[in-house]
Amino acid sequence: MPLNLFVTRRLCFAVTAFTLLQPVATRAADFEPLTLLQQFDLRGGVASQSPTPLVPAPRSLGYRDVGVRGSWLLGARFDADPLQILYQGRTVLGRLAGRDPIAAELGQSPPLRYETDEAYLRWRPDERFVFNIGRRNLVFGRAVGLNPVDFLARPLEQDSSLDAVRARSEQQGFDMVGFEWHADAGTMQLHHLPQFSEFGRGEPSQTIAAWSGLTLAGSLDYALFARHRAQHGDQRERFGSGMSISGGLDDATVAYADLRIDDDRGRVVPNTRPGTRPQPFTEIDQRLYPVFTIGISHTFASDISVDLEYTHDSTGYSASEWREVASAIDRSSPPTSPMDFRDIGAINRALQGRTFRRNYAFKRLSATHPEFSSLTMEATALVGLDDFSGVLGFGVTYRLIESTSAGIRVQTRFGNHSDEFRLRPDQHRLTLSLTARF
Amino acid sequence: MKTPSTTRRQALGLPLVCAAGFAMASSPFDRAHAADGAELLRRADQFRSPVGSFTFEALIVPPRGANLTMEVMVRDRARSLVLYRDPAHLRGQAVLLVERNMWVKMPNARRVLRVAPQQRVAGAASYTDIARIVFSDDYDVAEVGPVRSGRRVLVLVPRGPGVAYARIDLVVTDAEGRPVSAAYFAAGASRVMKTAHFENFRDVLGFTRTTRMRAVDHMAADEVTLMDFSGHAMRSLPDTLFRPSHLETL
Repeated sequence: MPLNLFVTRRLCFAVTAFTLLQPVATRAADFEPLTLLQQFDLRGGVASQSPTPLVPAPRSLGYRDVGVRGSWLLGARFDADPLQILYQGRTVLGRLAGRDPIAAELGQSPPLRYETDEAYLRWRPDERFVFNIGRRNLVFGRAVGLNPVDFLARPLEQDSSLDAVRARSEQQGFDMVGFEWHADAGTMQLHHLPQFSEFGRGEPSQTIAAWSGLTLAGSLDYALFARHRAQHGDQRERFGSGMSISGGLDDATVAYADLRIDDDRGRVVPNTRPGTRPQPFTEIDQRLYPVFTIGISHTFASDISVDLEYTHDSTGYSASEWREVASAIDRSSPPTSPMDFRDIGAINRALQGRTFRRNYAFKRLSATHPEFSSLTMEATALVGLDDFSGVLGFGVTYRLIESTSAGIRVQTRFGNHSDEFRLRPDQHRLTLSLTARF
Repeated sequence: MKTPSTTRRQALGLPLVCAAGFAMASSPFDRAHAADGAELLRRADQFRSPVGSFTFEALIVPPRGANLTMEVMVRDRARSLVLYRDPAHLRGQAVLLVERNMWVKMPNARRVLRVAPQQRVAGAASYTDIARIVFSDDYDVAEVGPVRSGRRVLVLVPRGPGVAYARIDLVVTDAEGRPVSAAYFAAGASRVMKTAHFENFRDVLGFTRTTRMRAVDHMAADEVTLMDFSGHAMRSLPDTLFRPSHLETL
């Protein structure tokens, strides 16, 4: 049995055992060693699908016109100083309209499934040292839209019917061992992931080191990252680095930047050898490729907050490369032969889970209604500046009672037929939700 | 019942009163009392907060919606950690203030974000009202008003950028420096956002201190938000507790 699966199962068992066997607090009267969080979520919606050159038969890939999905999330935390056990997992029944984050990719995904976001053991021998083992969902960096240093994101698995923060939070983590040292000058983290994979596509083990701290009398946060990915199959050993900073400009404004530099482009480009019907893509790489996001967040006196971000991704396709990509797609779509199906499938896999081009703008507007603090709103826009296609989202959540809220969220894509954000078939989507958290 | 027009009159009236205060404060009489202003502010802070490392509970009663309960940890006045206890949907939220910087960890988020101190908790309560509980760390006394009915107005201005309010007119008793009320001005110092009344003075850790702040929100039809502080206790709080990276482990 692989180590990561072994660890996760053992931790799940341990948490369950503690949940069942821990009857009462055993320390001070107000100390409760076991903390439980439960969240029931019911969401249903409709989506408008239209075939695209990249996805000529969306329904066969799991895109659905109508969907209903219920989930029960259990979070547990057991404190037995210096040990802690932390857990978050979900039982999910049903599928979402549009692109279900799991079903669309796996096709055969069962309607009832169980997902573990986190299940890990934390040992804190004193205030300065922390050791972790198990599955964790770690997030690095500050950017909200496209975050270059969010090394452990699984964009394909995130639920886009949720707001950005919750979607990232309710993502399955990775099995890892980690160490933290909280020194006077800052905090050092070291995490090793035996296997980094998404949808069964195994990638090599990787190690992430981070040093974070404050400078300029606390007015500037900074974090420095180093990443190593081991050799895997025909992929060579790869190194990367990154940086994240954020600082307050005044009492209402925060500016931030995230930067990642990899020694590999990590992307495939069309093979344009003349005179042959080529395999549509081939690997390239070899230089240093920076990806950065700069952003600013401002809170108005009216409680409206706005985040504005610009992202430049030097690994993205240039205009000429994108023309080749579009040509490769056009050559095979709509598919009429087994070779076309093979090629369009290869292109689809090559483009999954990434943005394609080089320049993006992101905006998020969020507000709590001043008269009804139970009402919150979020409007987002992610726009590709190379082709001016994009995706817009708007959601409203109303707290019905203390623990229960209802929400509505709409999402739509815009752009020309073969532009980046129009290549996905779920053109419009509306989702209604009911969430109880206690 | 106060109407919006009443609110507007108050909002317009207070700056006029304060402008008159500025004019009077330029007199030799008030310049002579400038040093006294710093002493009065120091005493007013003493009525609001102990010194050293301590903890207390804050109960926020907004004009509508659920009450909020928080545990607040303070170290050396400049560093505060606020942990939400109730309601359930906010349990796990944590806010850290170090000097004039603020970070928040939302209960359903995996990371700690630096945010603007201007963000409000609920109603008229801001994080700085709860966790940044002394004036003298962030504000200087610019002017000292004359004694009227045994009270003075101290006009406080920010020491630097990143402070929550552009100006505070703090009313204190002349004899003791006991805080009575404070008018908080928005950016530009032209508009009163809210007025806080300091009430329920009780013995807290060996000194008489205010345990209630009643905030009247002039931006929202004079709605009232109550902030009750209780359960003060001196505690040794490690330095590592007040770091953004620590919030991730809460």
